[in-house]
Amino acid sequence: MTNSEIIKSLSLRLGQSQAETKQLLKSSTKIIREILDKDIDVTIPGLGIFSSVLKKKRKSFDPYHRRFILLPPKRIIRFRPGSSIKNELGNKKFLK
Amino acid sequence: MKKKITFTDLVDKIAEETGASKHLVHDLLKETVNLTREGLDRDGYVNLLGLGRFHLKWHKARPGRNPRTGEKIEIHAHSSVNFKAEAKLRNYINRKYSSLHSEVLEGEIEPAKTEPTDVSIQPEKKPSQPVTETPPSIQKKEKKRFAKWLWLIIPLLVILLVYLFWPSPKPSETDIQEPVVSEKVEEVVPVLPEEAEQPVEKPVVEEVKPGIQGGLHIIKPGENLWTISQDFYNQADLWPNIFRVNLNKIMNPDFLSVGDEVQIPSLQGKPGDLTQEDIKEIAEGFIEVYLFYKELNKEKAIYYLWVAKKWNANEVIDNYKDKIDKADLESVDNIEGFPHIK
Repeated sequence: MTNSEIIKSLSLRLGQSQAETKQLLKSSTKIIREILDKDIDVTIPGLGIFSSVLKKKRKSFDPYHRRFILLPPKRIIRFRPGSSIKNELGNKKFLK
Repeated sequence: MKKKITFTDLVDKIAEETGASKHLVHDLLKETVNLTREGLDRDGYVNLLGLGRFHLKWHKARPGRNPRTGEKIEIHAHSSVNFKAEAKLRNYINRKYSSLHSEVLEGEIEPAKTEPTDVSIQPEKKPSQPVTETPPSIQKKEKKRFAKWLWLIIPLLVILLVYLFWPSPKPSETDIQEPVVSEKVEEVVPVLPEEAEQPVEKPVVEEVKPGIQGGLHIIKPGENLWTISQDFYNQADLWPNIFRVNLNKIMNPDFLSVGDEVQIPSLQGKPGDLTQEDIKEIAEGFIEVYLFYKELNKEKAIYYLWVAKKWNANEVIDNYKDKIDKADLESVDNIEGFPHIK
């Protein structure tokens, strides 16, 4: 499902125009982004938990040039799906 | 312990900052969740604006162990919900580290060739390996280059080989095909006279010699009576003999339809050593061809009659007396040969 499809059906369900819905969705994800940036987990019932995790710097091997490299620290967004979504879609098979 | 934000707090915060009603924000988030689930159920993936992409990944069943008891269990096949944050989000939370890049560790030494991925063994081999360290990479690169060239060279070689071995079968094909093409247009005309002269010279033939077996033949693309006769009798201009037997099937000897079955009459003798009966039959065939072309008012018709007469088959011509044009019968005697052969 693409962004535009989501916004279309969201605007239908909320009774708002598509532009308004898009604006609202954008600003709310922006707020979620800020919260994640402050290292706070965001729990959304029915979906799961988003959290930001700090990965320390680490040594790694570059197989192309066959040499060792030092990777800098970085933060990643980790998503843990909730149990309800896991149960619902656990048997759903999608192959590429 | 990490801080958490609950759903209601999140709704409150969003409502506060955007100025929208709490009710609306609550609905928005709920419906977004619902839509995400529906989308995953329908397509297996969802792109969510500002966050990233959710997708389902299928995992096959695999053997596993209960971590508590060590007991062997099977992990069932299942799909998992995965999430990848979009680049904007990744860059935003990493803006502090954006100036950092991966560095090459100069002091470190590559692992042995046999276990390139095993990082743990690498430090032990430090002292012994420094000299041999660079060659493997170069060798590998050269190998890679060579492999690239191989891919180019192999098809070229194959093409060369094919080209070299192609001509040997080809000439035989063309030899057969060339006459076919010319005959299709001009019919049997060119070779007939030679054919006609042969029987005149050897009308009496020993009957002991084994003949040629006929049979059924299915017409393939590119064939005509001329080639079929060549294949069966080894003499292309005996084709009227085939035409004679298949009068019902062959509407026009110049146009055969592919897939039709054609009866090939057997010969008692061989071309060059034909028996009297063969000659009669063949003469009959020539007369049938004459009749056919006569109906179409083709000029070449009379030459077939001439050939039939040359075969010394006067009995056969008598049988067909009613059908043959009398004027033609008389003029046949004046013919000296096929027009373009003169």
